[in-house]
Amino acid sequence: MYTCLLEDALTMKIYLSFMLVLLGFTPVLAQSIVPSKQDLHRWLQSQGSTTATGTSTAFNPAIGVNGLFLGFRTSSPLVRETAFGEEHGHEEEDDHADEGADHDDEGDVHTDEEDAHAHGLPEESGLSVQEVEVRFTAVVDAYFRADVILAIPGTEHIELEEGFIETTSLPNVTFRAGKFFGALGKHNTLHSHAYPFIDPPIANERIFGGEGLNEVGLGASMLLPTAWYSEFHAQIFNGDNALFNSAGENDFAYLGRWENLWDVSDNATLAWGGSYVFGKNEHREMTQVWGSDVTFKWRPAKRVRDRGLVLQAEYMQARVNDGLDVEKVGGLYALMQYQFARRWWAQARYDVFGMPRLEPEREYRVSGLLAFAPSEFSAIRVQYNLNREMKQNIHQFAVQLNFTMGAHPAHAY
Amino acid sequence: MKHILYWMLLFVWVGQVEVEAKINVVTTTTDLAAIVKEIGGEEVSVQAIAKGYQDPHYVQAKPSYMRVMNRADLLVYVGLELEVGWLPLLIQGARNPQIMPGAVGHLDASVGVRRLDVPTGGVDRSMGDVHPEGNPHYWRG
Repeated sequence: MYTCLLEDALTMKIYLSFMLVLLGFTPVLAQSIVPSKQDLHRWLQSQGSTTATGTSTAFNPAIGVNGLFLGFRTSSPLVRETAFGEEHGHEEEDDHADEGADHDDEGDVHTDEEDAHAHGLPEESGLSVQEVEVRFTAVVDAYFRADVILAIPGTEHIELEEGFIETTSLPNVTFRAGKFFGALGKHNTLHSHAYPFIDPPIANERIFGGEGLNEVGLGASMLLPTAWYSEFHAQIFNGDNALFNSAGENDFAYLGRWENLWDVSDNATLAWGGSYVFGKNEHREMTQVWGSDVTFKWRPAKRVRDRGLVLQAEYMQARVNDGLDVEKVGGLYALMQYQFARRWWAQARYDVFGMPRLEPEREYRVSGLLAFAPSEFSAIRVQYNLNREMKQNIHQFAVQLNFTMGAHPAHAY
Repeated sequence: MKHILYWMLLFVWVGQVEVEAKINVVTTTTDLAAIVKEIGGEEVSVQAIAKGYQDPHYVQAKPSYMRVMNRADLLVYVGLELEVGWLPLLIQGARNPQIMPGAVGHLDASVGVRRLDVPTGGVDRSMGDVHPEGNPHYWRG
């Protein structure tokens, strides 16, 4: 016990000063060695972290909670199903008779319905909990760090949204293993609280469903020795979603992404990224998805907190061979985010799905958003969508409360 | 599975290429850069991430800084959570074992500094932007 305490120099200083006083030295003499008030406080705090039971809290992971509450109004119900059939597991539609056996009661069916839209807007008007996320993050040891993110979409159940371990001590490269968002473009890697708009782009929702490409797999990210920032990602996924669910044992999905960023000036950057993922689908034929994204960011270094502009466009296309035919669908979005005051953002987005084509016709959406963020940890966002599909206009209006409690790692640039 | 292994080996191998004559130092602020230059003289080349006119609390964690830190032999930062909003992301993204916490090239300038304004009692975010580990603006003293 004593040797353990004496290892700490500060502790030693404190013990020594007590002993000096006890042995009858005058305070003036002891003064030279007596620790300051701050030192004493620090010492008390460090002692307090080891409780009587011997369990320390000092190594607990940082814990953060994100909540998204939603008020929603739509002129008529709107469902965006995935273009290639349902995803496995909980995203199955409840009206499929052959899968009805999985649902014991009404409650389950309701959950499934809620869940399918957890990352986007609900089908019908009302108040809802869009999602609550609990995030644990910590370094594991001198070689690894880990992130575990549990999501509660709606109010009914909890799921592992991401859970992965990553190397920290290798030069130039990071290896990752676990369940994580695939590096397929810009939007796919975002958690719902970090979406630029309340709902995801149509292309992401229609190609991969609400969850996006989020799979169990392995990944490597490497910083390339170039004169500008350039990073290459290689990832391998087990393939459990509708696009890559081949029954073959060795049928993985393979992803590559090349990401580049240039400093245009001290205040602006331009980034371009290209992604490609391929693997076998349930027909044991090839599915390929490719994407390309370009982002311009401007933020004056002298007024970092008060002004900012983001212009971003992303295109994604999937080609699915079902053994008879190759189905090809793709979509594009372009968005603008402008911060015009410390707490205010004005945003606009244009979405089109069905490029090069979609039967019977393309889907369009125009969105506008106004955000008020009193601090980094809370925001109130109001969004309007004008959807155009099947020769019909659907108006959607949403209000979102977005908050963060506890530790939250800084968002990537 | 075999070709996965080959890929990994290739990544590690390509990652080894590195030659530098001067000691490459990256600091978070220009104040620290000036001190490093004073001490290191001709032996060092120094680069500060935040510009002199910039508020070091709010620096954008641009990936281009990761590239700079990837090539650093030494990282010097103010500490006491001044750079907490962006530096951890850059260290993580830099993939440079020399500047990882605990490594030789990781220098927290606040170690040994007599801390002022360390909050006694609990802190929470209703108090605004508090520094729970004490006032990080010690270099002004």
